[in-house]
Amino acid sequence: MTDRLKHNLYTKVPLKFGPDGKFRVLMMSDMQEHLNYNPRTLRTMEKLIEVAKPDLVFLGGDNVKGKKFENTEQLKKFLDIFSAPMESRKIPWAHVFGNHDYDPPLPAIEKQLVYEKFEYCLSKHTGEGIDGVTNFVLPVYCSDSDKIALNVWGLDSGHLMDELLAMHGDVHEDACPPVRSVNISKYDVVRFTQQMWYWESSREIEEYNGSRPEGLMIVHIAPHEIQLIKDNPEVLGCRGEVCENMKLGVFNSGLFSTVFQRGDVHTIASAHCHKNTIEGEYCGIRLCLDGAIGFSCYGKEESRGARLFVYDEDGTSETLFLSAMDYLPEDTLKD
Amino acid sequence: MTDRLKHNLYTKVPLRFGKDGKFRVLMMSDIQETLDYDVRSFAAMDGLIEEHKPDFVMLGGDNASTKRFTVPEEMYAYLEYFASPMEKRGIPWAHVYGNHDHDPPLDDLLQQLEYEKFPHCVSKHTDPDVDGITNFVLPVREQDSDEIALAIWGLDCGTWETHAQLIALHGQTYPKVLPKVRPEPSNNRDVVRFTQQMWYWKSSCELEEYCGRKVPGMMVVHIAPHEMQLIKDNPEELGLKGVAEERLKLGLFNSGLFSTVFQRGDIKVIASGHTHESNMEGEYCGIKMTLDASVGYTCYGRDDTRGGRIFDFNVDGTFETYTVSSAPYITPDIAHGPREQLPYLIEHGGLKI
Repeated sequence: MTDRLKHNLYTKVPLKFGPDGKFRVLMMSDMQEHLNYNPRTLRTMEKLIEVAKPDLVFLGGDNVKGKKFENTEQLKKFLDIFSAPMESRKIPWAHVFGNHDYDPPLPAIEKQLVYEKFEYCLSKHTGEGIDGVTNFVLPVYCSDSDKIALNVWGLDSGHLMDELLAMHGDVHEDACPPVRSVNISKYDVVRFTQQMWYWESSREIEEYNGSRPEGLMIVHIAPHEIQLIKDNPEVLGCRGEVCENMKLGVFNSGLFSTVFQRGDVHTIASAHCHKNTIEGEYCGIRLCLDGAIGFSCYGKEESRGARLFVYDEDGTSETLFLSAMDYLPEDTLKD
Repeated sequence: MTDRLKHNLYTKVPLRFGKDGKFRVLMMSDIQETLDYDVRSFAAMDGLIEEHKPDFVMLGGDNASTKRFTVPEEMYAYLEYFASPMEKRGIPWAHVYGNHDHDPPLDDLLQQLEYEKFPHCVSKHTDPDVDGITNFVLPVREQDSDEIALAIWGLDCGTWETHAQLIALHGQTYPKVLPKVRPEPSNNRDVVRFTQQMWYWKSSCELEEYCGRKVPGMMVVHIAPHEMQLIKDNPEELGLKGVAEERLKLGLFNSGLFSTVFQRGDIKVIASGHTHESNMEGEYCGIKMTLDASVGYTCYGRDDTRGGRIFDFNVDGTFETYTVSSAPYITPDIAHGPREQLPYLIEHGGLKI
């Protein structure tokens, strides 16, 4: 067994499908809070966890307003508060970084280690040679056997495009020419080293497991192909709202194409644009967004909430956007 | 040294910069002929080589209309003729497959082995664990030392067939695979697969380690990366030159090849064929992307763009590129496009219609 496989198979708390053959993942993104926070954010998290009864909570990035944290103690204090909804209920949780999680001044790896100290936080990170920090896979086992039925993948979408573009010197000017057909913006992409890590990890796990587990991939900024869902609502079965520009990574990294060729992941879930909650299916892969769970950041009342995935042991799944408005009385949403 | 590095460093004929510190590549794509051919296609190739005296000739795919071939021996007979402009002058040459080179019934690998039989053909191929056939790198060394100054990469863009397998894998149907509104003019073509990109990435890292520095590279792949469309859409900002009217007919997905190459940081130019009429070029994020129009005269095309493309490399990795027209070699006696049959075809009973 390679070290990579050993690391990939490890979860601090074992994940298993329930006796009903279901596994529920609640994805909450863009809390984007800090120590001086809006209590509605925390109340909404608590309430949606009560409603959704997840087996795993996944924080989809921009978990904090990064530039407000001067030291790791502050981040620890913050996560004491914002992981309490999961920790107090002994619900395993994990996270990926979004662009704001990279905001200075703290180095990303130092932040990561603060997360990983929490008892129910299952997040892991990749080592040297692989770009980004929050790259990991969490195997979820069948209810009645030691076979893996589901892999929950996290990938780090990085920070701003500046670091990427710096590889070629002075190309900043032409990286974002005026005429572009997808809503690209100033963000980095899932790098090739990360995609290689996913590909090789996925192959190793399949070989170890004797079959290819279903996959759910979470990455803060969606693949460029999400634009196809928006642009072809009927044929690609678009549901949910698009109220803002997608603000995608500067290049199409090929992540969708890679995942399609590998053939194990059938849902890629992202966040990043707070007002968008769409889902749709392109070439057999569901692409979806989950609005924002935070109330301090910009957003729209209808799109504040979380996304629930209910997986069946046979690999099929359903997903639903849970709007905070539907579950919390209006007065608790107003502060 | 890994087997991969050993294979990557090997070229049947050594490739070297000239005394003048230059290395000239002539790329010609979309010959797309058969054993029964238009003599202008041959005249174009022979004329371009005679006049521009390249150090190396790259065939950029759709080198033959493969569906009109039945056995590998026919491909040998075809190349005996169409590679003779290089072979008779002792000029090393290589090829990548285009979509049409994958057309049935010829086996992709058996066909490749026919190419590789030619003394000056330096094309290589990857093992079956890497998708496609014509994936290789050719190191070009300095004139007076063994230092590698340039790497010429070939990648196989696949075809409709493999694309269909890919789609079938996910049980998909066309209207959903190619929805009406798409960011780039993608088509029912395959893409440079992830295994090929991994092969390039790992090979490039090994080459860098071996040479002690990143080796400037030229990458040839029959169908351009999706980012070529950005050059068409932003002509001023990205320095569009040449004819660019034809729709690009790109691979089904954006494979991320441009992004991968950008991150690796060694490739200076990605050169493609495929669209017979366009011969555009431009630069996006420090990487030049070029097309050459078809050199073949049987296939569709435009007589004012038919020809090839020159890349004049300097030992420091800088280069110039420009298109070269084949029009001067179409003499009045062949201007009407006479057809001829190769001896092999005649010996085997002539043209079957």
